Amino acid sequence: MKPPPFRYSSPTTVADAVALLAEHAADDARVLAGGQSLVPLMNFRLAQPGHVIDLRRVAGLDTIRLAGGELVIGAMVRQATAERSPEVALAAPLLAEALGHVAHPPIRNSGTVVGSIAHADPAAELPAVALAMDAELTAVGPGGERRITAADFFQGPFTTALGADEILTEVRFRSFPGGHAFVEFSRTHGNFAVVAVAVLVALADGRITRSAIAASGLGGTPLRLTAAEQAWEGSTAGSAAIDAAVDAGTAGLDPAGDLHAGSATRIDIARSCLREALERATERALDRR
Amino acid sequence: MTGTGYVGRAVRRREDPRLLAGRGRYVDDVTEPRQAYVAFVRSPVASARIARIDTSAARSAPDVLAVLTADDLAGHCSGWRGLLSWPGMVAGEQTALATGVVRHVGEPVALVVATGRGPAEDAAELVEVDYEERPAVLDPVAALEPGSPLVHEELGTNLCFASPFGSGDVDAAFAGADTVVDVTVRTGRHTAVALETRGILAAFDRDERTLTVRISTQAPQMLQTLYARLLGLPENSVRVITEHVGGAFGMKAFVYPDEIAVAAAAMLLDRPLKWTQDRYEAMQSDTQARDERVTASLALTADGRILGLRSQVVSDAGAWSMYPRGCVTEGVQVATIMPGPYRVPAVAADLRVVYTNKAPLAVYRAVGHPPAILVMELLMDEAARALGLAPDEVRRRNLVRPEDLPYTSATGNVYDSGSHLESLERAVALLGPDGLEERRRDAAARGRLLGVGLAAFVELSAPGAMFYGAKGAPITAHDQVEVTLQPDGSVTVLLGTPGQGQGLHTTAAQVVADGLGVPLEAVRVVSGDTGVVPHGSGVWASRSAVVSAGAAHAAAVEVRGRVLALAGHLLEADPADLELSEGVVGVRGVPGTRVPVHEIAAVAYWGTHRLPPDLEVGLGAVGSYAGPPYTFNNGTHVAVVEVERATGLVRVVDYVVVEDCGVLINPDIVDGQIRGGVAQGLGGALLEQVVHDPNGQPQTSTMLDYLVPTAYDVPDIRIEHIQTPAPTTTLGTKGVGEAGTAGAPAAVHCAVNDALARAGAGGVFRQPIRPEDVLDALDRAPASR
Amino acid sequence: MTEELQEITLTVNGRRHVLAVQPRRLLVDVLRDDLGLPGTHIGCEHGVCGTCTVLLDDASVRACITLAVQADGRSVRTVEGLADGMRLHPLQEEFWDKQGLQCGYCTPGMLMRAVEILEQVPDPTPDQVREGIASNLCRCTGYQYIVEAVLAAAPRMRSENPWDPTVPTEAKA
Repeated sequence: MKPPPFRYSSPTTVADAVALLAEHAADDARVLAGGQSLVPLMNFRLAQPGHVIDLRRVAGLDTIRLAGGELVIGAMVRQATAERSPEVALAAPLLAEALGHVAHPPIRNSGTVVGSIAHADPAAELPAVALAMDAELTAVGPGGERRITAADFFQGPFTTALGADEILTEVRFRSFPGGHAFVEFSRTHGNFAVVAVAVLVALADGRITRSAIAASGLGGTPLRLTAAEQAWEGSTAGSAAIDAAVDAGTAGLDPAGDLHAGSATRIDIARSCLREALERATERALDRR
Repeated sequence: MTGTGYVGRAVRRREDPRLLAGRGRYVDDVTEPRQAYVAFVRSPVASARIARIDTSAARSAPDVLAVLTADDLAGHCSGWRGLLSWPGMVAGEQTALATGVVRHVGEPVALVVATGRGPAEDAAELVEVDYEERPAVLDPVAALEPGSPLVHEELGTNLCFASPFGSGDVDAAFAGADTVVDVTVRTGRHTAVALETRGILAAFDRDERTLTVRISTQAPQMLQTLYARLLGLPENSVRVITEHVGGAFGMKAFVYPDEIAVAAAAMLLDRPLKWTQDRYEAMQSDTQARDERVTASLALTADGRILGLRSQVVSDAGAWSMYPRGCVTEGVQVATIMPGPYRVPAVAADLRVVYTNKAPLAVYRAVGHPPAILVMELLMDEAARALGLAPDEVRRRNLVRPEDLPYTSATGNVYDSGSHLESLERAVALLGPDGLEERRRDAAARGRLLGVGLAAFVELSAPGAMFYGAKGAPITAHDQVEVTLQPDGSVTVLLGTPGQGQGLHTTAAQVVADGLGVPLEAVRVVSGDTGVVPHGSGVWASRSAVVSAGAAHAAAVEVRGRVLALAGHLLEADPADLELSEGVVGVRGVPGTRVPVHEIAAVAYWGTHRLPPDLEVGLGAVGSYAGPPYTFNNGTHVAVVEVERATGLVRVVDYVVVEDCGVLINPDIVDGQIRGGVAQGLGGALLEQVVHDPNGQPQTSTMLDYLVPTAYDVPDIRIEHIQTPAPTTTLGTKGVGEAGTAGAPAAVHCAVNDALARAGAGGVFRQPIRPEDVLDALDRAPASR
Repeated sequence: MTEELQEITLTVNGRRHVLAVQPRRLLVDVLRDDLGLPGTHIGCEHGVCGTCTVLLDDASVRACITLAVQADGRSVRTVEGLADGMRLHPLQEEFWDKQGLQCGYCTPGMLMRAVEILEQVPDPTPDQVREGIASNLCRCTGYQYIVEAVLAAAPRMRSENPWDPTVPTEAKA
């Protein structure tokens, strides 16, 4: 399990990285950030890029900043850095909580926030968070820069709206005042989640005014459970509202099973995770007021 | 015994400082000059005829030295059959690289030699193999149907071995029973997941015609014999070196085709070759285990006494009977160990071992015991429910009592000693049943069902030659240890069996220090090089604390006798009046006479002119020990689990072990074996399973799919010991290395079923118990959720 | 394909090395094969088992899924750098004392992860240690003695005299 040979570049600017990507497009060039998904795939020879463009020396990609009510995380920000960042704790506590569930600390010390989103593993935590938070991804290509919403970004298992000639430079999270919760189920500690649920909720006068609910492990992409959002929004926060949201959120789901959990089991587990997340997010929303 | 008393003390392991410093020497850590690297081309399909192999592109790839197939090795490495003389057993002929047919995914087909592992893997991708796929045989029951495709055409059948086991009038037992309970149990196919993968560094000396093989194995002398035989060399021209081994658990006790292919290639190419298996290869080509389908029924009287036991066992052997231990040991143990520590007057077991297109099934820690004990303990719990008895009570009424010993089971196993009843009582007491109701309520408040599971067991350890040697396999069961008192009073111990993680260097030093009468620090232990050490059988079947220790003791006592004879002459005393302790010879009852042992040794080495000619002056002796036919340890495990109702997740929250392995040489080492064994058993109960798709493709080729327990999944384990000395072994020891793994799957499983029963749900009867199985059981229960 | 060698600088256990490596070389292979530090082991090459754990700029990483070029200009600590000559590090001492190892294969990675845990949380609870080392698999010990060893090392590493094995520890008392 050694990676196949490849050529390697470590450019210092985004423009150079984009140019290299275009230059080596025929060589199946791939962008390397933390490498915690790409390098194992290369070890298994499931990925055989002819050219690897390492972003580690690109200036400015390793910063976390708050800008105009948005939390902006650069493409080289490690998950562990974000997990401990006061800016993330303040502006996106849901992300901070979810980061604690991403594999194990040694993986988070290398893996990046943007890299995990870009990898688009349907079982992964951060894509679900991006979806729940209506995150925007900044892509830079030969034609310049564009923003892709999380809703548009995830197109299938390991498949995204990112062009082959584009590089993700940052992810932008809008702050969501209210309660949050991230709950996941895995069979052993730190293994891939069977199901994970991300919840954001805002309350006013004891009523649910706004919410965002997303889950991973229930389809080929992270799913936004809009039916659950609609089912409890407007209701008085409490068990009846949660029951309604759980039922609505899991109705009609038909996740593919695998050897860790069949389809029906995934739905059972999703109900449990969703309920726990809704309860915890509601409690936190109540505490915040 | 001289009574200096190192045996029984938890001295720190002498193996550890270098391992802690990162200075271990595992196979991959060693590099030879001119060494080249091997990668294998392996079958991507479960069953196929090989129509064509084209190695030309691979051979011309950069940095490639050679590409070999079965044709190239023919004539340089003989084939073999993993055949033992079990009546009617059949086995196909296997070659180092697949000849014409592949029979499981991962079977080695071609071997690439390059100047680095990366280039070797690059070139392996360029080897073109045309496979004519055939339907794969995957279900061992369907494999016995007429018209099933055959794994080995030459055998004309997929049935490897079939046999009844047991004695007594089972029909009468069932006819006269008040209650009959039955279970159908499926245990998951496991693999060992040793963290150090397999590996070999083979170098051939063309001038001396000697082959040196550095390999991660449990049985160096066995490989010496078999590599010599298969590669056409005298045994004294094969040297097998095994220093540190990063886990084996039974899986590294074989001639593996890929490994001997590397040795053959090293001879052919006259170049040291290293192959380090990667994890992907391990998950596809290491031996597997525990894949048993068992139907069993138990006949009881109304007051809960067992009258008889019937079982049908189908063992999924995979594609090959591994050489030389074969593939039937697990099935035989499932059938014959099943009565366990209980008085079962009549047993009828029916075993069938069946070939399928999967990686070979072979021995794995506690061979056959986990399924056997699981089935019996599930039957005991079913009986308890049927009879309205508490689980401990139905066991109590049937366990072998002190007055029954020695007890011969209806399958012919003799339990010569033990504490079968006492271990149950102690385990129940250690659990503290008084607090259980409170723990149940506390769990319920958190949405969890608390369950308690008991497993009483016996475990066959340290088997003698009847296991393999008597069946024609070239596997010795005896060990030799050479103990030498050096001129300065230090002691060198050469162990025939290598120490590799079980602390054998430490325990052997303790035994020798006591047996010879020297300080522990004076003893140095060497093992793992067949060019240096005497004969040994290797690390398997929980045998070292019995057999290696017995041989070490024999050698030490022999040397002590020689020292005392010399001392007797020098001190003009009767050797019978002398004692040797902590390296000093003294005369009993004469306090002033104290001669350091090195003064006596010095005379033996360079003062022989002072000695009569007939006195033995050699202070080195080889002790041999074959031991009894086997020893049985016994014990009881209690697991406490919490089952999350909403998700089916099972967590083991408390665990109690009462173990009786006779005399403890080093209690800490024994406890370490038990804890690790329980963790492995827990993994088997809840997590571990090799899964194949309908075409025979393994779905668990990564460690994200084949799950092993993490620190978060294993609870602290509370251990108590009973020490009933084995009457048949030198030191009173019994084996213990596998005992934790033997009992844990049953204890955890019974605990889950107890939790389910308390929710009105029926049990789960498969392992591993996945969330899915728990949820299904709860779903089937009326109004349980 | 002809891979162009990349020049990288690694500071390993305090010693600076300038190396020319193929970009495909894994950090673990460069440590083991190029720098002669085989204490860092290979167990799975997909980041799960943790036997290859080293500290990269004081943060634990899987050296089997880190390209050596990714470590360019950074500092690496491996098991070989723990002991001070023949004097074992307190964690090594406590692993020895508590029998936190059997076959020893996971041990280097486990030790490096434990170093990070205690550097980040000097006074951890048993649960924090258990959860912390869940990143690294051990197939021999059942983990209990490893947890005990890390807990026993904690007060020694906090003390002014961590290297002194005679300093009594809470866990030993």
